[in-house]
Amino acid sequence: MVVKNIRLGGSFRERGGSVFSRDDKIYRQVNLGYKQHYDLLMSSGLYNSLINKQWLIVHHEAGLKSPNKESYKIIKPDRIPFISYPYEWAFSQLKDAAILTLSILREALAFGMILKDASAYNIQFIGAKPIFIDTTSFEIYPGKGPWVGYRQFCQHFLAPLALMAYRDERTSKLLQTNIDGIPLDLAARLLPRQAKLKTGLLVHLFLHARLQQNYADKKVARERFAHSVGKDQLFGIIASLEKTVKKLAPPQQKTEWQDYYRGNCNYDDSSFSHKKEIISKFLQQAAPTIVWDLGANTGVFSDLASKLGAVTMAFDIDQRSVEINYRRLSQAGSSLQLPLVMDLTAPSPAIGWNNQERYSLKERGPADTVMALALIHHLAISNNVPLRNIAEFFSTLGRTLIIEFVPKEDTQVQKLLSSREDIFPEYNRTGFEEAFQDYFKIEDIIPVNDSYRVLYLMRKKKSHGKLLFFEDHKNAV
Amino acid sequence: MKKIIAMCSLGIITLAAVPSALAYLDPGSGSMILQVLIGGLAAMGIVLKTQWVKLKSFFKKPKE
Repeated sequence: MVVKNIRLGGSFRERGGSVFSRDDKIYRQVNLGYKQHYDLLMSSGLYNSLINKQWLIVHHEAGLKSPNKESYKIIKPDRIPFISYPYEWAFSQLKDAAILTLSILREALAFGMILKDASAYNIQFIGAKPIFIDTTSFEIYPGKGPWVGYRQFCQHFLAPLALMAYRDERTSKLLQTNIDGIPLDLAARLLPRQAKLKTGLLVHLFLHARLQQNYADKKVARERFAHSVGKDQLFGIIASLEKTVKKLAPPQQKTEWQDYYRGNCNYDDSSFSHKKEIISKFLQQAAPTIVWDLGANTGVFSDLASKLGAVTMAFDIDQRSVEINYRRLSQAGSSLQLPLVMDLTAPSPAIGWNNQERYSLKERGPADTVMALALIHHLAISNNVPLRNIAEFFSTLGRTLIIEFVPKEDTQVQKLLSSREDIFPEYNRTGFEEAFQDYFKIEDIIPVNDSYRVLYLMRKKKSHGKLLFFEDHKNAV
Repeated sequence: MKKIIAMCSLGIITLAAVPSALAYLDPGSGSMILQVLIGGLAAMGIVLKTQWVKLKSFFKKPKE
């Protein structure tokens, strides 16, 4: 059997190494050109220090044969349960990722090394805990010289955080269309004047943007700067960046979703706890390792999955709900549940060079179990998606499905229909079951006490072809 | 000619001193200049802060 190395999307820019998968395991190749930097990382005590602090992903040197002549070593990092991207993070997730990057930079300098970049994509989340994953980002610091990653830090972290804090949390989606972070001149144009009153933003964003523009077409010799910034100055700049980031807070904007469960639902306390019981029962029947909770709000039902030990992704379209959920999980130190911002009517696409740098939501699946609770009416009625299309979409995301049908008698659906014509004659239990049975086998049906709602446990039918595994979309090395 | 050779070798030495072989990022001229401009002040900020903390702890009553 031929074992194929599949080079993974976002790592081609780097010269220090690359990431590939083999036999469904992820490896990182350390290149010969990066040898002295990697050796210092490992021998100086920096690696151990970062591992002890749980800031850097643990790796082991894999006894694999070098796949090419550039290779110095092949290392096998611990696996990240789910790869997420900055445009899917709530404010505090991006902020924690920024602070972690600066803390790692400071630690690296203390050991005579520096980060050669400051990409937000170098940070991933294990549950609600950020961790740095790019082992080949560390470089020997010659003792003097500015930080090459400074511009990238401002674009990947500072600019989106400032925009979210001063304008609107939804501006984080600009990171989806600007893969190398938000251009500083764009951030400077979008930010209100009052942002200039903060010294940190005035310097690192506004002045930075102006200097970039002024020097864009001028030739400046790099080596002139090699000795102009010393370690003390760098520590000063890091402290200034950290202070600026820490002072930013998410706006206290209220959304319709964050208090969803408070007096807004079609449940009283007993039907709410009945719903929880049914979901727990279905989860035990499905016994999933990975759960995707679609429309998770603040994670009330995602908790049921993570309490059973499943790695759970709590997706919601609402930034505020994800923010609340992240802070709650972060305080509790959860390593199983990851809340993410996701608009299911337009899920994260594949982006970047050749559409292969960052994967689409589907390419990061499938999950074992998909939960879609109090969601179907938003997709079918607010977004006009036929029930059959919803069933097809869900069947590509997971093997089992726990879904709640919310009929027209429910006040939430009535609210959605109050301002528009009812063009959904098939939106009823029979129509729902018929549409879903094309893709799923219904295994269990339990109505929620004292409500019109019904919960289903379904299993994907095998006859509907293979799931979309992401390997199909990657380059063979 | 000697001058040119001397200048070229100086250039090579200077370039060799900067570890750029792996540097895949363009740091950006404006971003480098800004670090030069603010580095001194920022470093001074740290020194002042350290002194301030020391001063404060000097006047603070020792805990019994």
